[in-house]
Amino acid sequence: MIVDALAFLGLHPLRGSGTESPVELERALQRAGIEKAYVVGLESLFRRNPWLANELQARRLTSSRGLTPLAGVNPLYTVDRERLEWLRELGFKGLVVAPLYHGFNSRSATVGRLLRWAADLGTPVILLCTLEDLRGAHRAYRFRYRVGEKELAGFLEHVKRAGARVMLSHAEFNLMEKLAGTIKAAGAFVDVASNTVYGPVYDRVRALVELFGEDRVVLSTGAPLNYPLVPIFKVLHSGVDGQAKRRILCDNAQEFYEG
Amino acid sequence: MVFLFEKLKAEGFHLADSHVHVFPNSEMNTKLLKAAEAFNVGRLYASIAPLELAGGFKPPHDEVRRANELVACVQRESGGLVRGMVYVNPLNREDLQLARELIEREGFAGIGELYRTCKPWRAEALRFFELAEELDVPVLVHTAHRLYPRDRPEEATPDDVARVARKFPRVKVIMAHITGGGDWEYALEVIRRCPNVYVDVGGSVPESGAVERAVELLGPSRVLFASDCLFAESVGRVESAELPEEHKRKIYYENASEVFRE
Repeated sequence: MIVDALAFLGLHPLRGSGTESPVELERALQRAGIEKAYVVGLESLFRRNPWLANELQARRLTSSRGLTPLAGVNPLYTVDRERLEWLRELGFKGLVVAPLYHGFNSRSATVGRLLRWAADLGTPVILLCTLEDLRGAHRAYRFRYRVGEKELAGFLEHVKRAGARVMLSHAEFNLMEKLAGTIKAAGAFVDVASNTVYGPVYDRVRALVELFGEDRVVLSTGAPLNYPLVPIFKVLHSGVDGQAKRRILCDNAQEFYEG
Repeated sequence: MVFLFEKLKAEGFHLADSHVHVFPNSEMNTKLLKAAEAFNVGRLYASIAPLELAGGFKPPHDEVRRANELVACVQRESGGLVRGMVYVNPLNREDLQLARELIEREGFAGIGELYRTCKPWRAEALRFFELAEELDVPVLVHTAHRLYPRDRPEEATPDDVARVARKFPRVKVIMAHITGGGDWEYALEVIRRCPNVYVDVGGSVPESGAVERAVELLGPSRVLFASDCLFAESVGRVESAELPEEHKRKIYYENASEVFRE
């Protein structure tokens, strides 16, 4: 079984994906061999106040067997412990924080507070580290397409202090390599979604396994914004052994979300 | 689940990689050939990896010659798997004769990847398009489709490719890696009306829709499979694309046969 640790659902305001309903997304993922996916609603990433978008997302997914909802949260706006509990009651299995979409710095104190609440509730947190689709980086906005080294180091300090369960998604390979010690100390999971985690001949999936261990590397596709087979092929042809592949393609995501 | 690249292997067909590089490091070349085999790539149109050259983006003629000799050596030893593409620095006068020799005597398949030495429409570069026209070989042009601030003034943009392609309508021009990052939508729109421009789908960026849009705007005959040394990404992209199998077959190998006259 292949499990996708982070996919997207719904409308992107700047581009079409051709796959906007849960049924369409499930079909597209199944064509790539993915049976289960954790999905965040795109609307929640583009709204300053994502709460209504999250609620609608939960409703849309009630009848889906293969898609599990994640909530997009904006730490700068209407987040408190009670609301995080409410999200859990609605069936959300994790929180996605997206500093490049919501316009905050992930080493800020408000993010630290969010991580403490999430740790208390046992809710995993995903940090979306890159605005993968550069066509979304309109020059009318402040241009920022990735979380930098200082910011990520500060975020990981919060993670360590809070004892939160965290996955770095779409993080650039060089950044992960540079901060490997800090990432390991924070016990963070990392995914293979970034386009800088090159497949063969550069073997960066294997490099991630060597850096973080086979129990900390996770498959995320970023579908439908990204072609889902790309990261799967990177893992399948990475040269890591069968057990490591199984862990990356399935077990680690389950462990990350289910604890 | 059986993917098309696997099905093709069972049928005796192989993928043709229109844009790939070989390395001075033989260990990397071994890995390259192993990865190609795993993805059923049976033909690699390869030039030297440009970042491996001494002299940066303007290597001296001796360095260019040495690099192309290495490619010729890999070509000879590959048993038909690799066909060389001539890397040139357009600013070296002697590189023109070198390109002619390699194509005529060594059987190199084309010119390129024209890298970040100078714009392809500069007089120095146009000599190579004239040669390509005379010898009826394609020219592969490294192209950037960036959205972020430009710090590479000599790098070709889609507009540069269109400009030179219009000047040489009989030369097949391959615009490199529309899936290498940036605004591929714009890139495709710019070269749509240049029937002698082909695009390759190499590079690292997995943004969905790029391959389908290329086929929609250019037609299935002007889209070429390429890895730029990233096989999982490129095969994953074509396999994921929502296109009929006959279009994918064209992309995987039929179009390359036309462009490289195999």
